[in-house]
Amino acid sequence: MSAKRRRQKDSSFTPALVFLNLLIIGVIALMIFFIYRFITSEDNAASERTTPAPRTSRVVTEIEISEEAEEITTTQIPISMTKAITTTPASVTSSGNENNERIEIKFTEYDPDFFKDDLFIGDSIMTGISGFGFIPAENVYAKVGLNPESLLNTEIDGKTALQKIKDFKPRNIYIMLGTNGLDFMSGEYMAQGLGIFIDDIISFGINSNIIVMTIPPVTEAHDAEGKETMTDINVYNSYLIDMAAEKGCKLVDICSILKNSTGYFSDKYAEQDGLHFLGTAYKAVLGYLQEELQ
Amino acid sequence: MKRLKIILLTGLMLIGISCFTACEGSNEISLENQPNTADIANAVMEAVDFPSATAKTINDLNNYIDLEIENIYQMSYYICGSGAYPDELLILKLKDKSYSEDAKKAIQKKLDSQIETYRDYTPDEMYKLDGAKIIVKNNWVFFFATADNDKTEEIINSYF
Repeated sequence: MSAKRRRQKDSSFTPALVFLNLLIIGVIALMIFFIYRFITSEDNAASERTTPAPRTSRVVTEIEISEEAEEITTTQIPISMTKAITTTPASVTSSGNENNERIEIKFTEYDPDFFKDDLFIGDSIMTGISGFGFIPAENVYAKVGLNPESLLNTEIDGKTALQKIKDFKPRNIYIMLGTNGLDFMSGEYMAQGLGIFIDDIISFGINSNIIVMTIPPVTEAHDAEGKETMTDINVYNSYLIDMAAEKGCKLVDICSILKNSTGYFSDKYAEQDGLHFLGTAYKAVLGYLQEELQ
Repeated sequence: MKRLKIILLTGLMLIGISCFTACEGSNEISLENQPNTADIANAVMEAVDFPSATAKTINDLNNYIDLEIENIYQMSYYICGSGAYPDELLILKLKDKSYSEDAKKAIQKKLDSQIETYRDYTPDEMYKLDGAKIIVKNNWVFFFATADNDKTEEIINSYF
């Protein structure tokens, strides 16, 4: 082999060898890098598997309500002994004005524990009591569109209202229902429907207090739409008062505490649609209920 | 020379294979390095009108949608607390993308129920449900029915 060719042979290997070495080193480095990332991502995934937050356990402790349950601090009055009470808030006084102005009552405080054994039954308005988080969902049996007629046959989460009551065994049952029926049912008919439901509760032998709540007002703007009007609300509420008296149930007039001085739903309580509640309304209602029942 | 070419070609192939696996590996961002659901939700809440927006926790979730909580790494959930409107925003960051399809089915069931409820109850609000969307992005599932569904989707997409 000539010297020249020998030199070429020698020199031709040098850059190739360097390149090859660099290539191999690069490949090995890349492999190490990605193996490391793979290992660390596995570790992160393992540590991120946090224990799921515990499902909400029922706030209410199931209480076997019986005649011997004297330890229940709130008064548990057998239904047969109650007299229907048409309550007007004690702190509301008539100003003596011919327009019947009312002083707005401000109930802003309530004790959630007071209601922990109670069940709230109602329509979309009642869904908000748990929607806003004031009362746990387990203590609410409510559905959009529910009315006194459909209450008897509707199921929510696979249960009728009576089944829910039977399973839940509430201390108090609050019923606020009728807004959805105003447009197509008479107040008298709806009150009768609620009366039938109350009869069913009693016939089940459930020893819970039943509290009938008047349905809430609407704003003047909503009233003007003609679907749910204060005239119909007032008529229906008067039938509710009579029905509650007939059945021996307590009645709580929440409608009156939510009105403004002109007799419509107060803006400080009313949702944009003039029918549903803001959070302030639920606080007011719960505070008033607690005061009435304590 | 021929040997050199073979070595070089082999090396290039190895580099190519390494790059391919590298690219595949870089698409799998760890859960903690993915966006935070709260950030996305807050961005939507600031931009879109949402009446009586009430945040719900993971403990409340099953009262509204039948989802497997164990599969959720992080979530943000808003409803209209008053019950007057069908507005809803759910952002799920699941632990693995294999859970996404089941989550989507559960949410679709909820959406169908909402449509049935609100169709007769508040027809004026149906536009929110008619334009509602369930979007899956790997291990992320988004559900929204808002006054501006297009804007909501735009905000969500800006994070991915």
